[in-house]
Amino acid sequence: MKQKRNDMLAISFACPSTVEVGDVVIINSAKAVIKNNAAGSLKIVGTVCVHRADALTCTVETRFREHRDDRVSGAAISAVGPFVFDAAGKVIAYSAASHDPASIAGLVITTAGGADVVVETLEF
Amino acid sequence: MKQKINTLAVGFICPAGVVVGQPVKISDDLTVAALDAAGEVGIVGNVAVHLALALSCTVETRFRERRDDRIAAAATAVGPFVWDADMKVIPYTKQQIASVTGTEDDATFEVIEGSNDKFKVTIGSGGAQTFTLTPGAARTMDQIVADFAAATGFVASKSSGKLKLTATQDNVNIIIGTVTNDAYTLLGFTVGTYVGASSHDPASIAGLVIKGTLPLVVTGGVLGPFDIANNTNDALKLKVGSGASQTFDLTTGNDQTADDIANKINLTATGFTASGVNGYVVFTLDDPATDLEVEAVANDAYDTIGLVVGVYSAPMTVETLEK
Repeated sequence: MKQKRNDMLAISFACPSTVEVGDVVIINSAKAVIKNNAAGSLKIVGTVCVHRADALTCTVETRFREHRDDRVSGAAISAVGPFVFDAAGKVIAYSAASHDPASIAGLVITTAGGADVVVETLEF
Repeated sequence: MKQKINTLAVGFICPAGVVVGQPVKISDDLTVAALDAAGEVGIVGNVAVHLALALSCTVETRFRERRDDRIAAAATAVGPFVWDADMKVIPYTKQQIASVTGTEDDATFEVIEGSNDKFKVTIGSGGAQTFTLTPGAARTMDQIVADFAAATGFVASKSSGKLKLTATQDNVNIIIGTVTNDAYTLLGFTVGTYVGASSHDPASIAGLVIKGTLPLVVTGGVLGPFDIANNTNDALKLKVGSGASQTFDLTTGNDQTADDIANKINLTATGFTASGVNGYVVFTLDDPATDLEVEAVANDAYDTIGLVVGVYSAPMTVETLEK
């Protein structure tokens, strides 16, 4: 049984052909997901809801409420994953050493080579 | 492109400089402001509507529910909150990273091989790490810090000339373990377990308080002016929270205004301020979540200004946005 809200956000990602519907997936590289492979991952996007046999794209139902492509990076983002807003409201990668986990604003799903680069985000 | 599902929209007071689309944080009761620090934990959401130069805006928020009926267990300012055991609102406090600092800040230290050159540290449930300090008659703290370069799960640093060990993640203990030939006396450490300050797991955050607890305001029930007679109705005895009782001797005379009464009280009042408001005497406490007790006293003025012996309880209701 799977009981869920009917207002889920669903987003397409590149993915390995081995991913199956119902798999929990994590963001792995720019707009690409793989099956979750670590305990307590901070990179979980959601659950695969559509994936045709052998296809290299899938659709993921996500816990996030908003998908945006207009956020701007505040610094280089070398790896996709959780992000926080900096003092200027720009996206920077979450750092366990310097940020409270409660400040995580969502997932950045594309990378940036430096500051002031438009990135895509999934936001709480 | 902005793809989204249903969001809650809430009106707030905000500075004129805030623009549509900007993430904002809760900064005061029902008030938002632009972010001013990285990693803000009080983000309400993104501004959805803000007319030019307007001082109010509408924020699309990640939270699912807005309520004005939650009860705080203690004084609570705006910001993230968690539930206490009684389902009351208490402020979220960040988990603290454990650290321990030695007491010795000498210019140099004499480290003797096989005598005082060992240091044993365990981080959380990890394995024990034993460090051997480089011997020398005059080792500096910078050199000693360098001896911990291979540390895992913590970092060593110099803090005001002393050795400081700091865990690299929240919610793990630093354990200084017993070891032969330890350097603990040399550097001022004691065997034991060192934990971060008590705190909450971020995963337990239930939402944001957007209007915190307010100070108690007590308004006398009688409209002035007031006739105050010596040794008849000229005394007040008040207690703020758990503070000491405060006794006031009002000025004697007829036709005194509420301001006259308030001014006399304010000469010695602690923890509250009296004022005259529309002819009534009003008592406003300094701190939220603090009660005011009107205590029995001879020749009291309670009937005159409209107070009743007993405890006036502080309002504990807060407004929340909840996940």
